[in-house]
Amino acid sequence: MSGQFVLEGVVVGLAVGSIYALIAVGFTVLYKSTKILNLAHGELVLFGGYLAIAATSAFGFLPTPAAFAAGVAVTLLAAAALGFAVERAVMRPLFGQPLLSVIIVTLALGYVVRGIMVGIWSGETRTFPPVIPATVVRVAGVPVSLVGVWSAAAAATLLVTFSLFFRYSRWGIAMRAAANEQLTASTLGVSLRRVFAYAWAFAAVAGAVGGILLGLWLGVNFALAAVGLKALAAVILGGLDSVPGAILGGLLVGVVETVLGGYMEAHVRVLGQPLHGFKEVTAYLVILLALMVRPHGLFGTERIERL
Amino acid sequence: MAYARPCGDFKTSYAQDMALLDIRLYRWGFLLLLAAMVAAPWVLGRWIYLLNDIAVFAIGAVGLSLVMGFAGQISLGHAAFMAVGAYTSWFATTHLKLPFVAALPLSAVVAFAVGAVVGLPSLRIKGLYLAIATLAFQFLVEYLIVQTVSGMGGTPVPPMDLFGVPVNTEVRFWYVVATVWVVGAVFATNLTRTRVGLALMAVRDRDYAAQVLGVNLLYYKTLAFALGAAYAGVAGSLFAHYNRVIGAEHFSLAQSIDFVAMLVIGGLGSVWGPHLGAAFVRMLTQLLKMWAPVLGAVIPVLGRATTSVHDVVFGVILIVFLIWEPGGLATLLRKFKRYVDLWPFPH
Amino acid sequence: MAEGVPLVDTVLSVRRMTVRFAGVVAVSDLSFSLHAGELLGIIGPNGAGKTSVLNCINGFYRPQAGQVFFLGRDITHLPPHARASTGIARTFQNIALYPHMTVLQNILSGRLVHMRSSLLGCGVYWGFGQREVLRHRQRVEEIIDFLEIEAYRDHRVAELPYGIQKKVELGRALAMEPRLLLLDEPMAGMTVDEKADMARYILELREVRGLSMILIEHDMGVVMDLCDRLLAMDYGRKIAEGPPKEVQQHPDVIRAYLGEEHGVAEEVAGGP
Repeated sequence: MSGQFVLEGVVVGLAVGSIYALIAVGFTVLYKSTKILNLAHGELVLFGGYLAIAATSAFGFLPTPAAFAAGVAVTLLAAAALGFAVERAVMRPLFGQPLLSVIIVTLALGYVVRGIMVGIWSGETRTFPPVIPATVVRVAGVPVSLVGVWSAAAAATLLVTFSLFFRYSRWGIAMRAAANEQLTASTLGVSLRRVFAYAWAFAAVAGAVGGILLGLWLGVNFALAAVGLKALAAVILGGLDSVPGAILGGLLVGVVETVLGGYMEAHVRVLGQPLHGFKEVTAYLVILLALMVRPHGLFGTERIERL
Repeated sequence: MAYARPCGDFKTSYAQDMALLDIRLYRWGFLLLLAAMVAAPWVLGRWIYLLNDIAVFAIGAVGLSLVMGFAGQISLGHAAFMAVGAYTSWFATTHLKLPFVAALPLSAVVAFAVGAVVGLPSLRIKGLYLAIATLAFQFLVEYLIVQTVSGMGGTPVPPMDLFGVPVNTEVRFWYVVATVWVVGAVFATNLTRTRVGLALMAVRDRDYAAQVLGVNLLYYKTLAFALGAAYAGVAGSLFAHYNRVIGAEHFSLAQSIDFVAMLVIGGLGSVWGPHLGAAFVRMLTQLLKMWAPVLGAVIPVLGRATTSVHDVVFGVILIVFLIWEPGGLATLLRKFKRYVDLWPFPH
Repeated sequence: MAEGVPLVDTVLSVRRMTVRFAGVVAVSDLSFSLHAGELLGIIGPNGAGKTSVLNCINGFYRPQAGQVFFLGRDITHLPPHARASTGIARTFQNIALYPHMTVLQNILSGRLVHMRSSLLGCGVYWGFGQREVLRHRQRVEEIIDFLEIEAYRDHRVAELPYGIQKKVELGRALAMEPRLLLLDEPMAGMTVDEKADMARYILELREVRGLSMILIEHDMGVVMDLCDRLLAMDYGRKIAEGPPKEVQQHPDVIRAYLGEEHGVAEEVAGGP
């Protein structure tokens, strides 16, 4: 691995990783405040990507930047609505049900969302109209596409905004209280229902933003749902219940995937075969290794059982 | 022994009390079920392939019910173990030139071993984290299949051969698969009412208490995964020789989730659950395959693709079951059984 | 008794045991022993480290220092399940039954330490597996008789009232046929009648079966009546040990219960 290869990998990896981090934060916030592991998160990313493209082209009569802005606004509203609807219609009746049921319900939700998307958009790769010119800029001497830079910057800005929101706003504090101790928070006047609803809406919006940013950069197809699972890797690395952990995990997965995955694909041969698509499984290897070493993630809290 | 449940407890030995089919009605019912299985090809004609399909997946589902229903360990990678069995059987019959009767147990043994290895970390990795670990395992196996053996296409598998008799028709396959099905199901049911089953349920219900009562958590969690994988391996081996071609798409994450769906719909922690669930899920899959174009035409949102109809219908059914009947079909059946027990009285 | 081989008469001996959690000392340099057939009561205010002592004896916690000897054997490094098969059983403060299993299955699971059938034997059932299950079923029925819970045999535990669940948990521990039984607040939250029943069972276990027991209980009346000897703890330390009357009068014990720091006067006066 040459120094230049690693440097390029790190820069690109950080850019992609910042988007993973954003998606992972949605995941973690949902887990923290509702204790639900959402295996439909990838579908929320997909939903954001497809809907934003469809909405942008629906506003095609406007100049491209305006159409894009309108498309994004519509998508975010729809994502929030989807989050609220899921919480109200599916998750609320399952409150207090065993872990297994809840996980499977999120899987089932993923099925439904993806099924409908395949039905409507039939699985072809779609791209946004050229919102940002397809030029290449140099970051730390490394060529990166301008879209990538913009996406990463947007993701970073949003991450900062979200952390400020959780630290200082009323709802942010309520959600953190609920995350800490659900029953206590509810006796102190925090409406758990609302916290859950907001958490779902937040997760859906974060996923959708991730989908839009990745879609701008790489185009949208059904492989995008796998990004949800990369966010899962990020979250596992960071520990399910740690927001800073999720951000760091996202960046880490981005870098490892680009550097290690890229290297393996380009240079390593097994049984004389090049390792096509190794990048895609790097995230899962990361998950397994992380769990072997630290079963509760790098920053996750381990529960001490009292008898 | 009465036909229906007697009023008052007339059992005179513990053996009677612990028998699976404790009244004559159920014993006759079970014999009738076996007879129906023998007669099925004549009754069903060419539709016997539906039963073959159900049987293969029911065997796999029984394995998952040991892992999830009895031991309470979430596994989202069950199809990967099926793949292990299928490719073992393929390798044994093509490269090692072994007969099917040797390849089938070999598949079970290899899958058992792989299951034990995957199950080992389950002592440290728990709950959600374990679910994710099995998910990662699923993806890695899929990747491995594509990279090493099958590529994006499939690998051809020779037909089943039983002591020189080629098992090349649906009817012949039915008798083979039905035998394995019944033996496997009875074996699993017996497990659940003896030492192994008690220990697994103890681990599921409260692992620390089980430990203090002498249950070795590492041993039993690993055993659960290994047993579950062995069943999946047998199902994989049967599937390979039935379908005659195997590839990554047969053992995908979607298949793993279908297995989970079978358990949830059938009823977790019930011995009939996996069979009912497998029957429901596979029948529905086949029906949807036939009717998808019609449904797509009526409801345009569902579009042209079969997969989308399948996904949406499955997702909705799963959600409905989990919200309204978390006990699954087995619980519905139990309610019916209670009705039979009490007949002709309402309570 | 601090040095050398424990006496044959000694069932359990704990030596200089210390347990810490992230800076908090739960048990500090504790030593005591238990004679065969003896009923030892451990008392102390909430958070004194009583349950931690039990957790160390059955292996749920690993003490940072000290040793545990059981029947003359050092079991400090054995995992919990291995200690169970040496003959240590316990009940839990918050009931730890298997909620989705029936009373019968719960108590039968206590027999797991004595079950020997192989995987194949279990799966085939007819033959050895069946004979074994039926043999154990016989013992389980004896326990069900002893605890007078015949009527609940086939009920799922989660559906049963609290007092019955406490009985079932005792039954599950007895099914192990232990040499040492650890009871962690077996009467907490019970009605007076239920307490009387439980006390009767405990006495019968001691008198008739000669079972060695350690009992943690807050009801001083019960403890004074039942126990042969008391061990009082506060802040993880042993503050008194001896015959119940002496321990009750011990100035440190009275201070621990009535003192400025805790002020749980009712406990020493005999229940709420």
